[in-house]
Amino acid sequence: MIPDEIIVFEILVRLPVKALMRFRSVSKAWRAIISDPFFIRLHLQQSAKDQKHFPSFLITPHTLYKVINSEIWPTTFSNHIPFYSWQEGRDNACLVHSSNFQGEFGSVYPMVQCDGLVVLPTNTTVYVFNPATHDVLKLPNGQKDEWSFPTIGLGLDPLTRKYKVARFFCSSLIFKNQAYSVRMEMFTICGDHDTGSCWRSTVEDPPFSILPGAVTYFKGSLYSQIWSKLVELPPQGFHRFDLEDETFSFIWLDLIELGGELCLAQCLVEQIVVWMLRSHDGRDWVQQYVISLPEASNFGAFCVLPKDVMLVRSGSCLYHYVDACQFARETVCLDRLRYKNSRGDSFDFVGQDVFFFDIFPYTESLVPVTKGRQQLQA
Amino acid sequence: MASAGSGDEKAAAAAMITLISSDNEKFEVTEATATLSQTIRHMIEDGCTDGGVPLPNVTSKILARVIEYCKKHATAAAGEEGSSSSFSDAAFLEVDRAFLEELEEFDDAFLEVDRATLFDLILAANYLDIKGLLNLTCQKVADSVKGKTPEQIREMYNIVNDLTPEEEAEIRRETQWAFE
Repeated sequence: MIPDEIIVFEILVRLPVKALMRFRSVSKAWRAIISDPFFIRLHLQQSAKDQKHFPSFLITPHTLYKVINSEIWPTTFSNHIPFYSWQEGRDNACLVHSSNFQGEFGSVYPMVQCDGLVVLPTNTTVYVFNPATHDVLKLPNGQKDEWSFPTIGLGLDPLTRKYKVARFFCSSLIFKNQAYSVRMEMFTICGDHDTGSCWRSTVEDPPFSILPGAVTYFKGSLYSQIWSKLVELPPQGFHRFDLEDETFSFIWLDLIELGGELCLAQCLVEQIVVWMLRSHDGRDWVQQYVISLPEASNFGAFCVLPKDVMLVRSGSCLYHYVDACQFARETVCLDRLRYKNSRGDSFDFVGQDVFFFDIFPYTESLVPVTKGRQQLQA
Repeated sequence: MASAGSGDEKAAAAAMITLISSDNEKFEVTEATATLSQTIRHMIEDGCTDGGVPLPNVTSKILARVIEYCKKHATAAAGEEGSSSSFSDAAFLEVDRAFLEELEEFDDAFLEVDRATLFDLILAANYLDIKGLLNLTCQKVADSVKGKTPEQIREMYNIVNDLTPEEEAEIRRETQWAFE
């Protein structure tokens, strides 16, 4: 009676998961459609569209069965993990699914989610839930983490279309010496025989220590911050971990002042993109300059000269950057300048002795820095 | 044949397209109305609409309904474009809201058809690639089946249960909660 297979598909794709779980028992054809990966993907897209129009949320309250005041992070969490759905504007949240793990863990940590899957890190095990289908996966034990607060990410590998759980951990950590060795291991959900049954270490280790707890998934990559307490002179920016080829890169972000404006410089491989802050509340950023140079990451935007010429710096050399031809012309190398002494008859500087140069745009002024000068003036 | 409604006056000078149903009835519509269908839009872009567009999969009864839908929604699309420049104008927003409500009422009334007609509309929307209409009609069917049991679904749509009793029992056992 339903005239066409395509139409069955178009109708089923618009149904809630609970109805689909039930309709798997209508017929073989329906069961096949509902478990087809392509259908699952389109259903997710449709469901994401609905989510935009009628935002709904998943809520899990984590309760303690006993309060111990001396604990920084409790070890007495309830092992009952319920999921409630709540729609914006409603007074009630409805239970979707709950599991009881009967003493399997003492502490739980904030969950991460992606495409309806939820990962719960605990002090013993990592659990993966799909609350809508009531599916629960208990991941095997990973390598020992010397830090107490787990760092977990979840995301979709766009190539294999498999969901991967990433676990950052410290294989060694001596906090007071800032000595650490940070590693990462991956678990592929519904992976094949090799990848789907255990954690495996990534080929590359993270280049810097990762701030515990904070991993964000976006379009095929996991983003995290540097744990600056463990890194001397931490660079400003973010880790990016590509879920497809499982490699790390670093997104450099520097706050600089250029031409009297606060700017954020994003240093990419062949470009420096400079965003200018337009409003004092920090909300309105506009892309102001793009400096395209081979090995742009060696350069820093330094000063805006008249006629929109940009002075860029690399080490002790300054260059004029000409936007039209994407070319940097060397202007000066500070170690080759001649530095006249106060009498003006000889030169002070011997190049090899200099470790580094400070150089600033300089505006001379009368601004006092000592009280003595001010009193003298009075 | 279809006389231009008052809202179409501006577009009256625009190109007209002739659509020909499977039972050879001709419908003349504006390009704005016709191009809600991606299928027809591509035909127009390829310049193969002279002498009318034959639609061998769509009967005149269904095509008339589809055109009714497209006319209403083409006006809506034109309205959206027109008002986007005066986004801050509260009076315009008020008009927009009233229009959207009217459109919703139109859609609700449009869906008051028997099941066979609804499926014919889905087939036509799919063939003509009219996203809004496909979504509207499929959602209507989805809403009407989502609370049903598998038995009710089979009965409603004459579907033969070809699962073995064991397979069916297993699905029920695995997902008993979904049947409650």
